[in-house]
Amino acid sequence: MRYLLKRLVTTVLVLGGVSILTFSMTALTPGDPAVAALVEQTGHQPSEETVVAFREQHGLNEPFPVRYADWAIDTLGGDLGQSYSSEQTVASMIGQRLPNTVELAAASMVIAIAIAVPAGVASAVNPGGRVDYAAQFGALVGVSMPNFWLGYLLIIVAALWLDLFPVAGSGGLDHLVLPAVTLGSGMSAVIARLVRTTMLDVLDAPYIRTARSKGLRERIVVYKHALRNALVPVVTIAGLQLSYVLNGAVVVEAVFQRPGLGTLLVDAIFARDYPVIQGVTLLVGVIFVLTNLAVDLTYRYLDPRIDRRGEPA
Amino acid sequence: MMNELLRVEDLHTHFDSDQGTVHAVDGASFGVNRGEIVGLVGESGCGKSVTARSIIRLEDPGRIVSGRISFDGRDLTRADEATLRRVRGEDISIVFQDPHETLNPVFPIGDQIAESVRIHDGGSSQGLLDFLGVPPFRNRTAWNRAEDRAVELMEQVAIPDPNGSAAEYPHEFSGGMRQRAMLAVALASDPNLLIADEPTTALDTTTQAGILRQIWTLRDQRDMGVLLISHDIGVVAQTCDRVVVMYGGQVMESGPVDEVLTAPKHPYTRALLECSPRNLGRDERVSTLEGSPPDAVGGHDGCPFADRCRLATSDCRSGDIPVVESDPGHRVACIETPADSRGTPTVAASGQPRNVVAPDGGDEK
Repeated sequence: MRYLLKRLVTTVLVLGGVSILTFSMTALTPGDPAVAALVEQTGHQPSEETVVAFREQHGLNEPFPVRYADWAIDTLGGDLGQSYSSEQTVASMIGQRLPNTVELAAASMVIAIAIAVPAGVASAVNPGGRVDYAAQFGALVGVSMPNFWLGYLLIIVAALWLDLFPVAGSGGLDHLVLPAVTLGSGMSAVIARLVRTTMLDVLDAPYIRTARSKGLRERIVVYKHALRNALVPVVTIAGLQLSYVLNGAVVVEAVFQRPGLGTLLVDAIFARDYPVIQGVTLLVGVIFVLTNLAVDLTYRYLDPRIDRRGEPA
Repeated sequence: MMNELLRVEDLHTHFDSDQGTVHAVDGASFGVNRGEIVGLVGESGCGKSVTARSIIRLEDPGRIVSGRISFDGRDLTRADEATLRRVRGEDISIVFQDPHETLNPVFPIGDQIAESVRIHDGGSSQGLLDFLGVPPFRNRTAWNRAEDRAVELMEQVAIPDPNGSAAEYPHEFSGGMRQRAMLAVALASDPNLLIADEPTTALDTTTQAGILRQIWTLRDQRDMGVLLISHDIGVVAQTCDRVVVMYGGQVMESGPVDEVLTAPKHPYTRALLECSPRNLGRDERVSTLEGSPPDAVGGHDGCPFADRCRLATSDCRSGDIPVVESDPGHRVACIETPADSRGTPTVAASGQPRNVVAPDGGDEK
């Protein structure tokens, strides 16, 4: 319990740091944010009056610390401010897009793990065998293929030629398959390699010999006694891979024209829509920090030797 | 022999290494009877552990090249995987050395013992989901019964507070307790033969005596055969009925403990006994055996001990060494089989457990 409290306090501190960094981007970017935003919106150099009005409207006249404090207080109350380029609040824009990205991230994670764990285990059980070579080759291909390329390839083959799935957009499950496969395959390659390595290690451990000496079936030895021990590093990497998912979502959502956080962020950056950029970046930061917390807590379930300080006993 | 449980006949187990083929077990033969404790002794690296692993057919990455391992009339070197699964645990159980790593760190002790019970409880077909504990597939009544039995077993091997300890993980147990837990895992399936590979090496002498007494009691209660592997002559002298002395993957001498340890016939057995500090007078020094165990790469021609043996002749280094049965049940593999064996140091073969310092410090990897 004390461990959890301590972790929560650090989490809050980290998030405070993230918010300051995110917010300072506006101040640190060269040029006047008001002018930049207006140029992007209107396409020509704005008049002096429009700039002054824009500054007034969005509170850009205040000094930086005051602006940050205002923003931070509003953010704590759930108000991420007003978009520069649309009539909507940042919170409602994120609210509309977030479910799509969460859906994509979850689906690609599921696909990645569903491919990676059996493939990694099959490799490790018979290292140097045919299955191992095939899996290793697949992993190499998966790691080397850029997301956007795989995405377009899938669109051409599975959507245009075979007409199995819609080309782009969002909606039902059929819209989710191609983007999730695109994003999940690269991740599964990384995880499969890790599962293979850790399983090879674990299968040599004396307790595996003990399990066999009890007369256990090999399947139970592998999937119960060995896999459970191999999962600890795998969970870490899978958690860290979430950053990969969110990065990848920017590209994959663009390729498949899915309205999600990735496309929202890209559009906001082009429009110099600072409140939206800040809001999305902060949200991504929060997701990261919370994932790390979740990974740490999962460790303690998976490996009882990790004690309350989070260090191996 | 009518009560013979296990017979190892001319066993050869090889390993492939970068230096060549390692003949870890190089023609070992011995047997274990029901209700008998047989000690398997020898220096580190003489092939004791590989012999033990070969018997339950977990010799991988080594391979059995030739020989027979008969258990209750079946030849285990030819048995298929399904038969071996039944033999492991149900007929033969093994307690591996080094209790730090032999229990799975992520499962509670009680569960690991209960699993051993479940494997051989007759009704279990070892379903993966059942053993993973996935709710609808988990056979709750069977697991509850197995867990109750696990607590009984923990009580039998003298683990204090078995109910509470069952939920603890291996890292929460001391070395001695872990070794007892391993013993409980091994006994869960009521085996006919228990192989104990250096069960007390990592433990202090008090704990060691406790575990050995435990094995003794269990043998008496269950009429089990026990193969006790040790590099510690003292432990063998206290615990065993018969002793098999191994060197270079071969059996040098075997026979009843009181004969072999009081009147050793083989020069190697004598040398081992001279190294045992328990036989010394006040001002004597422990003698040491010059040299180290032979490199087992490529195997041996003749006697593997010849290079370190004071009595070795050129005949020792080539050809087959005859095995002589000097007294009933007492076999020696030596050309010389020295007539004068009475003047050598001896070890008391019975009596109260005494503190014993091992002639060598550890054991093979």
